[in-house]
Amino acid sequence: MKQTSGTVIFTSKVVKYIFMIFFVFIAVGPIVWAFISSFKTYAEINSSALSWPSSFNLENYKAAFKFAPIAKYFLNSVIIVGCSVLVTVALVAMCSYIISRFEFKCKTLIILLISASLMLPAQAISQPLFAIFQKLGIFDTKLGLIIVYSAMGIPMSFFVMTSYYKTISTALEESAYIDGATFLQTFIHIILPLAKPGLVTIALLQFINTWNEFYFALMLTSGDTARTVPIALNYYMGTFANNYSALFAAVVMTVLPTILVFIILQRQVMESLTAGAVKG
Amino acid sequence: MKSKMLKRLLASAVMGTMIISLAACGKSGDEKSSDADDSGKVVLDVINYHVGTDYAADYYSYLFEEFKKTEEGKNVEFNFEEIPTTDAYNQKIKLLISSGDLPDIVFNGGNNITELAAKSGKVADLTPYFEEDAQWKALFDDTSLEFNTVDGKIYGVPVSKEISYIYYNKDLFKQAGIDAPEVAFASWDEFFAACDKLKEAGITPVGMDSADSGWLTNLWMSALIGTAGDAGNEWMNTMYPTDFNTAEVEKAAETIQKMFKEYTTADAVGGKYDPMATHFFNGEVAMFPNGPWMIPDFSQEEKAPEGFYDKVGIMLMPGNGMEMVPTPGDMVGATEEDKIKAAVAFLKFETTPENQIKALEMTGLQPVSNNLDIPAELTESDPLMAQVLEIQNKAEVTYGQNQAYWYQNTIDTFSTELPELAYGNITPKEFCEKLTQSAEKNQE
Repeated sequence: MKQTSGTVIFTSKVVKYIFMIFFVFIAVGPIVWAFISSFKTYAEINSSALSWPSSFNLENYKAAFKFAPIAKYFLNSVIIVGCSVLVTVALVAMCSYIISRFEFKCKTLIILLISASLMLPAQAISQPLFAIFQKLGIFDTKLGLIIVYSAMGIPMSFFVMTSYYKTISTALEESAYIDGATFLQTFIHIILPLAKPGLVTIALLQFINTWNEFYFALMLTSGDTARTVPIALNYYMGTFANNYSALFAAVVMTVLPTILVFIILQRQVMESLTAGAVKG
Repeated sequence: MKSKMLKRLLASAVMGTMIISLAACGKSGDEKSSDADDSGKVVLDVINYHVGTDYAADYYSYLFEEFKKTEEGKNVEFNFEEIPTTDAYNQKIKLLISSGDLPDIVFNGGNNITELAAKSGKVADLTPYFEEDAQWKALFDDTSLEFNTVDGKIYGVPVSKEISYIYYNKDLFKQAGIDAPEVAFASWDEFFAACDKLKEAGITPVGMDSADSGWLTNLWMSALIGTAGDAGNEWMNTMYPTDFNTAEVEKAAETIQKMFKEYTTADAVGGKYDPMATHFFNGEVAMFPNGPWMIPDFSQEEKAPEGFYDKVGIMLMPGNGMEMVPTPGDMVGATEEDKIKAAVAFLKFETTPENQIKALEMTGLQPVSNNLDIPAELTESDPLMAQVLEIQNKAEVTYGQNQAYWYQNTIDTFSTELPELAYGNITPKEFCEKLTQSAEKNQE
């Protein structure tokens, strides 16, 4: 009997580790593959996707800098994405709190308007945006892209945060008010610290979505001032003239910050994802 | 009351700080490009997609620099916007056509933008410029100019011709005991007999693909239709066909299905151009359809093994067929007289016989003008290119290809349905029906 239960525990451990290895492989595999491919030649990449590079040198990394202004575009991405994350988080943190906690006139209309903006395809709004941005003098500027990306990120982040605020007990706020805290003090000192995991999640979602955004970065810019990494990656692709070696090198260089951000924020993200899961 | 006031002040200060910090990322009004710079030069806005790894990046960089050294170009400056890849370029140029903010020189990235631009009224009618310069007009044949004419007016200046044929590996042919024809296999039966011989010798006969518009398969299919008698040839020279259920097209689809099953590599279904080209470079495939722009790759050691250039031979498609389509030409989006003149001067410079030859030398782009004197040094230094120039005159049948003549959504359908055809999930007739349905959507 004892032996049987030992076998069961052992088997379940094996199954658990197989699952874990499988998911680690899915998550890390493509990054490792891109890293290894960044040292391969054009012929090696096209001959076999899984072969080992003949040598590990930095020629492809040098080529990556030669074909595209990747450093400049990378810096633009950091500024634009960073600002859009800050703006989105700041606005959403406030507005979704009000929506989730208070009843007021036009609340449903506001929610409907925010929901409706989720249904607008980028192509449908690109021309009006192009014309408006030119009139306002923010075409081909970082500010223009920050505004667009923030606006694009707000609807999804809004719904995530509204749901999240609903999981925070109102008793905490009531206690704060009884103790004499003002509305602002309650929001800043009580609610925001509790909402941190939710805020980190929307920051992360916003970061990933805007870091990879291509269409508006192309349509609303005309020079190097505001163009971002996804446009730089296109420099390695051409009709009958793809340079996959340099492309992989560029991908490795530009994907690293995303991974670093995730590593730094992963504790909060995990907390956010599991928050409420154990509540009875 | 006091606290309310303080709150408002605080809120205003926060808003103000946000706006100022965001505005710092903006652009001041005087940064916008102007019509003329301080020295009084004409500034032409150009969106250039020949950048990065594009096959013609070096050539266009040369062209812009050289133009500024000419009499017509010495007072011209260029204000470039770079857009890597023609796909991205076409997305943007379509937006600019509808918004009316076209650059002064509008490069043509294909995708049927000539008609769109002409009908929008945002590009200049170049007919008067052709009429007043007979020597320039004489550089182009009627077909090339007609291809760039909309409602009787010429809007585009064609800069090259697109041709394609078959490259073959001489060593693999020898290994299979096949005598390569001087110009082409006389018929498709002879071609497939050679394929069978190659197969018997353990060699994969042809390169094919299906992803990214299925370029290689498109060239085989165009050849099969274009060489199928007068009816097939007429069909393959028709712009925007809508009926794909003709005997010639269905027969071609049947042959393509057979080629996928019997004569190509296992990764052709779902595969794209680059890995298929590598099969050819590595001597794993005997025949590969493509155009002259591929020739520089044969001697690039990064792509092909050393000495590969000497192993490559050229032949036309069976029945002396060759794909040949005029290219959509570059246009003028400028609206002011001096800018239009400067832009036309650049387009004239781009199409001088010298620059057509330079383009041939640097990129493999075929001259748009017929009977140019090709310098002996070029034919000696690049014998394959010389052979291309010679063999194209022996083509008895010419026809178009789908990326030039079909509706965009039909090209997409072709690419997405090819795997279904290859695996036998749909019959050739059903494949053609899907193409017909897709093309007919443009008529609704």
